[in-house]
This record gives sequence, structure tokens and C-alpha cells, in this order.
Amino acid sequence: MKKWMGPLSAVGVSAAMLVGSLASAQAADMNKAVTGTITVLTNRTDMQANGMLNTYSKEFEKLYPGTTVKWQTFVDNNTVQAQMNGGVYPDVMLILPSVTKEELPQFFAPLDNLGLDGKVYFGNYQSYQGKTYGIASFGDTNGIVYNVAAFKKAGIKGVPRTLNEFYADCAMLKKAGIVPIALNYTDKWPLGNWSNSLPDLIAKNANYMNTMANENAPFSAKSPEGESLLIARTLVQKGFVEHDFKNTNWANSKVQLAKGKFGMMFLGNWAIPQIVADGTPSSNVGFFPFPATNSGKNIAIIGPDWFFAVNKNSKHIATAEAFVKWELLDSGFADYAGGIPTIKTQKSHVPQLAVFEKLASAVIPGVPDSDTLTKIENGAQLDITGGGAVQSFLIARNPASAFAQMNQAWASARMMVGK
Amino acid sequence: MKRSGGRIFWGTLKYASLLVGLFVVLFPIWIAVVTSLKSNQDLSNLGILQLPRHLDFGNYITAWNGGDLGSAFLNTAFIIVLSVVGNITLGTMVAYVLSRFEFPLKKLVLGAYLVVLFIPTITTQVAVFGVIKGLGLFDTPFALVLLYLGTDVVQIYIYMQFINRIPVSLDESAMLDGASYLRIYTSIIFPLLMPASATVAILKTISIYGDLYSPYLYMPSTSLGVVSTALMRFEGPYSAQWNLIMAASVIIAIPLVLLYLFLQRFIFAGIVSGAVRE
Amino acid sequence: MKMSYRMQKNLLIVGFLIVPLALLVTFSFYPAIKLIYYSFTSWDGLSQQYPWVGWTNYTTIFTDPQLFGSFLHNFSYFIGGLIQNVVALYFAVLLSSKLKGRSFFRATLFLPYMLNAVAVAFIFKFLYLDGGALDTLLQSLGLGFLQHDWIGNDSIVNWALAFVSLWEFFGFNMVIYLAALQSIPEELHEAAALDGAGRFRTFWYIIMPNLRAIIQINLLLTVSGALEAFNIPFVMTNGSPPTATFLINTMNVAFTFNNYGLASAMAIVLLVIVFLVITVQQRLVGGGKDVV
Repeated sequence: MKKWMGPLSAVGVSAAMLVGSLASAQAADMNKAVTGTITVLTNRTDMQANGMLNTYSKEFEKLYPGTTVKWQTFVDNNTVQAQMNGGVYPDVMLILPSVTKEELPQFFAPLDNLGLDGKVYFGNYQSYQGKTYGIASFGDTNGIVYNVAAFKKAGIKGVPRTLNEFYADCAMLKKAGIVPIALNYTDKWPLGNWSNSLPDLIAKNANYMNTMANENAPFSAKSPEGESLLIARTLVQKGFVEHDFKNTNWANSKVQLAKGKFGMMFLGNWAIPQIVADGTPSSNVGFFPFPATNSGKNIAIIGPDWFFAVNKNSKHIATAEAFVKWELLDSGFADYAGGIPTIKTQKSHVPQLAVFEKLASAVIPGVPDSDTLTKIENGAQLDITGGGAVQSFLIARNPASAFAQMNQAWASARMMVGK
Repeated sequence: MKRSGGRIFWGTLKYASLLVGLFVVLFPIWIAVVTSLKSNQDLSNLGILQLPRHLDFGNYITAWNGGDLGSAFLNTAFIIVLSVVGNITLGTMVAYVLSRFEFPLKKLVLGAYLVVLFIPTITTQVAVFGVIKGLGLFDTPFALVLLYLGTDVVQIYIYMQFINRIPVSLDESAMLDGASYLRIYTSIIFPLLMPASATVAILKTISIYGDLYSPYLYMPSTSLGVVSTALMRFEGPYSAQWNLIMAASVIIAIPLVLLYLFLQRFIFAGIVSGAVRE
Repeated sequence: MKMSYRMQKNLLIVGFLIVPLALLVTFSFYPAIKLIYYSFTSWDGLSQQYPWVGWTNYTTIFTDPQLFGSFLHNFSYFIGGLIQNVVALYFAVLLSSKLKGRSFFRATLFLPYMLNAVAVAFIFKFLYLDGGALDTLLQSLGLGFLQHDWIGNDSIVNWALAFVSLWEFFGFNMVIYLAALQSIPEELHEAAALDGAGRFRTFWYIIMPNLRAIIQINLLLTVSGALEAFNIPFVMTNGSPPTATFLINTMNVAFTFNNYGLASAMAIVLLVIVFLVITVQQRLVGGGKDVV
């Protein structure tokens, strides 16, 4: 324990309490080897730009003298995957969605020796043959992020509880000259929620997406997946989205939402602090569960954001592990990012989340996609996870024939996968 | 009379079309510059075509610092200088051999360079990545230098056009003086190809300067950013602020435009090949 | 003792070609061969297993309309490339004649090619905004009826993107044409003038035949560029479905759908198609003569 006292005083008492409960003799040994230069992969270009990443490196380097932390910003799957193939990828990684469970041990070091087993949420998501290879950076729940003042201006009292109320509120926002809901079409990934998250909410079943693997025609006006796509399409057709919605991105939309020119977005709680950072008080940004049906009861599902992992070929595995642990326990990243901390003993400090939880009829834990589902999606070339399928569906001439096409691709992919 | 009427018509058409061309070329550039000089206030209050009320150079400072453009320029310059020097050397060597000598596999070599032009390079990255990594050059500027070093069919074509205009009698008289082929290359061919080399250098510089994908792939460390990647990275978080993005774009355009203005004479001289004509 | 010229020649050929050819083989042919190998597997891009699937990937490409259909999005770049060459040749002919302010015009028209490709994409992204600079300009020129949501309109967007390519690259073609025009001996022009040949006839019968080889080179570059269009849609629209060119789709298949084998086959198909188109074009324009 004594070894810890020196560095700990530097980070403060609250951290000391947290680590105190988790620290073990094993961790103290690890400290010895914590040295050298590590590269950390990050998807936060905004934190690169505002200097936060630099602050993180400095804090970590101060805590572990003799270490240097460099950052590599994530551009696309493609470049990182090429690096992984070549065996030269950052020491601290984010697990790409394309990595299958069997491939985890090929690239990453098991993280079970961090002393976090059983103490984190989503521990089973990235594990293979009993070993854990990834720990979620933080948890998310998807819902509607909205501008409170814009709602007031449009004359909306209280947040919508049913899908019909939701459409009615959109109409009121539109009447008030506010873009009701931004899709961020060009970025593609923000659309993923409409195909990958909303169906579970409609079905009120966190495992619904996985059941699609057993169906030959999961895309129809009556299936949760199809309903979700149709909701997005309805919003477009009623003119409730950005008027030039095919040329829009999240970085622009968050500024417009902060200004109250855009009313809502369907995103995770992580979006809240970023919108606040664009110049609006936190009290002006609200968050409510997506009113997915007309039942008046709306559930919320908590799932993981990106997963941290450690490169198994790293020259400084101990340093990389220490960094992952530090980022989870002491960096305050989860709070900064507006997420739900992965560490079960930590509490979220995002005020909107408390309100959100009260609005939800139930908050349930998410279920990871099965490998079979991923294989069928890939085989059918339907980008349901990444939002590409929504992009295509929104511009399809005829929804019925688009569904038919998707079902056909789905059925033949199921055959190929052998389901 | 008929003739001069035609002349006036053609003359008018000529200048009218040139002016249209000029406008189409300059309008986007003009808009970029005007936008880059607008403060946030001017950007939201004034029309897009309106001039800023007062020039705001603040965007340039923000873009320079936020995009880390200083180090991006240094990295880019380093890569360009090394690649272009090597590229010219190799390009002239290949062209010299191909145009002055007959040998069995000549057609094959030329054909090989032509075929390579059709390979969509972006799809071969997995294998190329393996090579770069195997050479231990991953995440160093030398990875890019090596990739840019190789000559291509356009360069070879430009050089061969030139060499074919250098009279063989020059080579022959040097041979009478006892010069070796190597010496003929170094003291006659290479110097006489200088105008063409200026052209090749400019073309190569442009293509390296604009390359986006290779730097991302082979030099991912943020500290090794080149101008293209710096600009892309800058755009991400600032994509709402067009005045900043335009400022960054203008900054990045400036060095090559300057280089072009200074070297213009050589470039066109090189291309029109007046220098070697007898 | 001095080497004979024959020996020198052999040494020089080998010595001068060995490094360039080594680079060519290492960075172009070796990766291309690997690509061919991957194209017969169902490799997912990360795994250590490369399951052999024979011709399956190739049959998939030709039977899946989604995959092959994306060539339609390349069509605008193809037409744009042809127009680009006509425009470039037109200006080259103008600029090679006696003209006031010739070097100014020449320098300005070449300017876009000098700009950084990413910067150009951003500038046009801004220009094309709905109600943005281009729309405002059209409005103020009394051409308001031409206003569009340039990126948002699926039937226009690819033409808008192809125009960016034309704008950026026509200067390059122009300079190459200029070079070729300057190398046509003055005497030919003069002879034509003495004959009293009209402008158009001079151009068609005297200049064009001399330009054949260079037109071929330029077309070769633009055609292969059009079929392999990637950068502009990648930066400007993130390769959204209405703008996904064949190569963008290839990259999606490789990295979104984890089918590197199929993507490799697509790359090979693309290579073959470019080759075929070029051959046909050579027959048409070049009368069967080889370019190089």
C-alpha cells in the first residue's frame, strides 16, 4: 500500500478512496514496470483540438515518472485495421467493431489481472474462453437530446411520452422555425441508432436484434426493425429533419442544437457535455427516453461505448495496462465524456441522466450482438450497426421494395452463414 | 471584309471564353479567401458574397495553432524534398536507359510501368503495409519517401520526349572524347533535362502535397502529421466554422501557389521544351 | 583499362534499372499479386485464416446488382473527364495562339491544379451548401432557377462532385496539350496559312493528327481516374450511398463488411475494366497505335 501513497497524493483524495478499494499487491508490482513510451488510440478529435488529451498525458506522466503518452487519433476502421494486420498498432487500443471474439486473443492482452473483474459493467462483452480483453470506456444510453429553450419557444409543455406526441412536438418545433430533429446523415454513424438501438426499444427487449438472426424476413412495416426505419423515414418525409439533411454532420449539428436552432437529436448521453461545451448552460440541454411506441411506457437500454484494450505485442504492456486503469478510475474521462462510469462503484455526474432514469419505465442492461448476427449483417452487406443501412433506406424510392431487397439479402446471407 | 469580320468574331469569342474560364477558376478561390477573413459575426450576419466589414486575421491564427500547421509544414517539406530529389534521379535514369539503348526486355519494362498505372493503389494497402512494416519504416517519414520515390509512366513519358530531342550526336561526340555512358548521363543528359525535371518536380510535389491516404496509413502519429492530414483533423471538430476551415485551406494552399509563381517560368519552359531545341 | 561500350551498356542498363524496378515490384506488383491471391479467399481482413473459395467472389460481383451497380456513380466522372479534356484542349489551343495577357491566363487557369486536394474539397463543400455561395451567385446573376441543393439532390450530386474533379485537374491536361502544341513545327502552321485553310480545318487536319498520342495519354489518365474516383466523394460526402463509387464500395466491403476477399476481387475486376476501356479507347482514338 505504501508504494501507492506517493503518487496518490498527487491525484487527490477521491481517487485514493476509489483505488484504495481496488488496489492489490499485484497492482503494486505492476507499478515497477510502468515506464516507457506508449501510444493511445482515441476517437476524440475534439479533445485533441481543445488540449484535453494533452492534459491527460501530462497527468499520467506525472503519476508515473519515466512514461510518455502519445496519441493517435482515429480516422476510420480501415487505417487501424491495416495497422493491426501489420502487427504495429497503438499500445492502448479501441476495439474495432470488426474484430470477432475469436480474434480477440490474436491482438490483445487479457485484462483480468487489472483487478477489475466483477467490478465493471459490460465485463462479458469482449471476452473469449473465459478471458476479458476489453473494458468499456463508459456506458451509454440512447435517447433524445433536446434544447430546453427551443421546446419552450415552440410551446411544448413536458417531454413527449408517446410516438404520436413526439410527432406532434416535431410539428410544433417546425412551426416555430426550429429544425425539429437532426439526423447527421453525412457522418453515417449517428444514423446507427435508428437501425440498431430503436428496434430494441420498440420491442422492449434488449436481445431483439439478436433474434433477427433467426428470421428470414426481419424487415417489414410490422417488425420492430422495419418500424424503426419507417419512423426515421417519416421524419424526413414530414420535413422534420434538416432541410439539407444529406449534407449534415454532428460537429455542426451540436452547435446548432446549443443555439436552439435545432430542437433534438437521437444520440447517447455522451452528447450532452459536448453540446454544453458549445456554449449553452447545462440546464438548457435535456434528455429523455425515445418515445418508441404509443404505449406511454418507454424503456432505456444501457450499453457500452468504445472498449479499451491493450496491444498484446506492446513493449510496455504494464504501462498500457496502468493507463487503461488510470483512465477508467482516475482520469475523470467518463464524467468528462458525459458517460455512465464503467466502474460499478462510481456514479455518473451527468444531471440529465437522473432525470432521464425517472422518465424511463425501465432501465435494462444491453446485450452484445452475437457473432452470428454480425456475420449475417456482413454477408447481406447491410450496415445496420454503422448506419449505412439507414442512409440507403432514407433515400430509397419505395420503402416496400427496399424492405423486400433487404429481406432477400438477409435470407441468402443466413443460408451462407448456415443458420 | 469577310475575313476581318471573322477575325473580330473569333477574337471576341477567344477573350470571352478566357474570361469565363478565369471567372470559374477564381470564384471558388475568391469565396474561400473572403470567408476566411470574416469574423464569426460577419459570417452569420453578412451575405456569403459580401466582403467582410473589417478584415479578421484571427481565423488564420486559430487555424495555424489549432491545426498544428507549423509542424505539418515541416514534416511535409522534409518528405517532399527527399522524395522529389530521389524521384528525379530515378526518373531520368530510367528514361535515359529506355530511350538511348535497345535491349530485349525494354517493351516489358515500359509495359510494366503502364500496367501499374491502372492498379487502384488504395486497395493494395494491406500488402504494402506489410512491406513497410517489414522494412521497419512504419510511422516514420521514410515510409512515405520510399512510396513516393518510384517513378511513373507520366514522368518517363515527359523525360523520354525530352531525351529524344537531345541530338544523339551530342552523345557521340562525347564518346569520341572517351566519355563513358555514365558520364554522358551525368554531364550531358541530366543537366539538359533540368527544365523537364522542374516540371516533374512540380507535378510530384503537387501529388505528394495532396495525398491524404498514405500519411494516415503509414504515419498515424499525430506528431508526424502532414498538411493534408492536419487539414482533415482540423476540420473534424471545427466543421461548423467555415471561416476557420477556409482559413486553414487558404494557409495550406499558399506555399504551393508561391512556389508556382516563382517557378512558373521554369515549369512552362520545361513543358514546352524550348530549352533543348536546337 | 577501359570497359568496352558494349559492356558499359549492359552494366548501365542493369545499374540504372535495378532500383526503380525493385521499387516497382515491391510496391506495385507484389501487392497486386497478393490482391489476386486474396480475391480467391474469404479472408475477413484480420484473421489468420485465408479460406479458399475459388471463383465465388467473382461470381458474386457479377450477380449482385448492388456491387456492380455502383459503377453508375462513376459515370458522371467519366463524362466529366471527357469534357475536361475538351475544355483543356480548347484553352490550350487558345493559349498557344498570339494573345494579349497569355501568360497571365495560362498561369491562372493552371492555378486550381496547384491547390491542395483536401482544401479544394472543403472549398467546394462550402460552395455547394444549400443556399450557399453558388446558389447566391446564380441568384444574383438572374439564374435563380438553376439553384439546387447540390449535395442533397441525388440526381445532381455526382455531377457536382465530378465538376470538382474537372475544375481541379483540367489545368494539368491543358498544360500537357500546350506542350504538345508547342512542339508542332511552326512551318506547318505557316504552310496551312498560305494554303488559306480555315481555322477549323487547320486545327482538324494539321494539329489534331499531331496531338493524337498526347490526347491518348490524357484520356488514359482521366478515364482511369474516373473509374477509380475515390477521394472527392470520400472527403465531400463521406461516400454516402448516392455518391458511393465502385472504389468506395470496395472499401466498404473490405472494412465495414469484413470481406477482404470479395473486396480484393472487386479491385481486380476494376483493374480489368480500366484495362478494357483503355484498350477500346486506344482503338477508337489512336487507330491502334501504342501510346508508349
